[in-house]
Amino acid sequence: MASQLQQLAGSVRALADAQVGLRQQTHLLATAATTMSRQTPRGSTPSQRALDQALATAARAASAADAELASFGAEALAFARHLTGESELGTMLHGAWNMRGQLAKAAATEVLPTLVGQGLETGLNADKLGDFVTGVYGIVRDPNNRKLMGAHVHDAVTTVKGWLHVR
Amino acid sequence: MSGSSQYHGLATQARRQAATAATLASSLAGLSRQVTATTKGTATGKDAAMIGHLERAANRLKATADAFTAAARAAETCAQEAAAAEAAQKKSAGRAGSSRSGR
Repeated sequence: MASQLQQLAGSVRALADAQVGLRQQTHLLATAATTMSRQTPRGSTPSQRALDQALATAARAASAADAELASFGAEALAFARHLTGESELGTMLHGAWNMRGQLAKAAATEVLPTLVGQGLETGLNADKLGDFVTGVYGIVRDPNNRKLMGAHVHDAVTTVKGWLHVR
Repeated sequence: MSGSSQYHGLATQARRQAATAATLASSLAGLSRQVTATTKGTATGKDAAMIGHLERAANRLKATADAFTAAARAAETCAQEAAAAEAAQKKSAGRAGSSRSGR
């Protein structure tokens, strides 16, 4: 997910960069229309008026396109920054998530068996410990955690259950 | 430079600018499609606004191209009218010259 966001941010940033070149060309178009309008000999025939009008329209449309491109550039850069931020957050969350998996593994393979062993040694009821382990098993089999922790915990709980049964 | 050749020059310039604007409009429309595809599935209101700017810029450039094409046509008409006026002027000047020499 993080790498996809980084890729997306890169694409949008490239688009934002491209608009700079596009704006230069659009600006040139607006300037050309204004310059041509100035060069046009003044006259009042219908075709002369049509020429004046068309050049004024071209200048206005090119300026409007330039303004839209400027807004696009600003928003695309903000969008790219937003994506980069999300991507960094994604990397951090991914790291934390992995760590959580490792902690869960440690808990399941080391802490839980130790607790159960200690509980048995101190005379706790084996059936109740069995229920406790089953409860833990149920918690870690929760769909939200299952993918990360399920396999490790399943192995550990099976081991502990077997151990309790033997005891 | 005569009026007709000035108008001819303007028509050529306008045609060239119309072609540039049309190419830009087409590039922007492509860019807009690219952004839409890139943000597909994750687009928010802000993304839609960003794409909207691109689409409007493409439309404005298309309007620019159309206006330059109209300007080129008008300039050509002006050139024809100016050439006709110049020819008429020459003709009347020639007539005036021959009537003076005839006297």
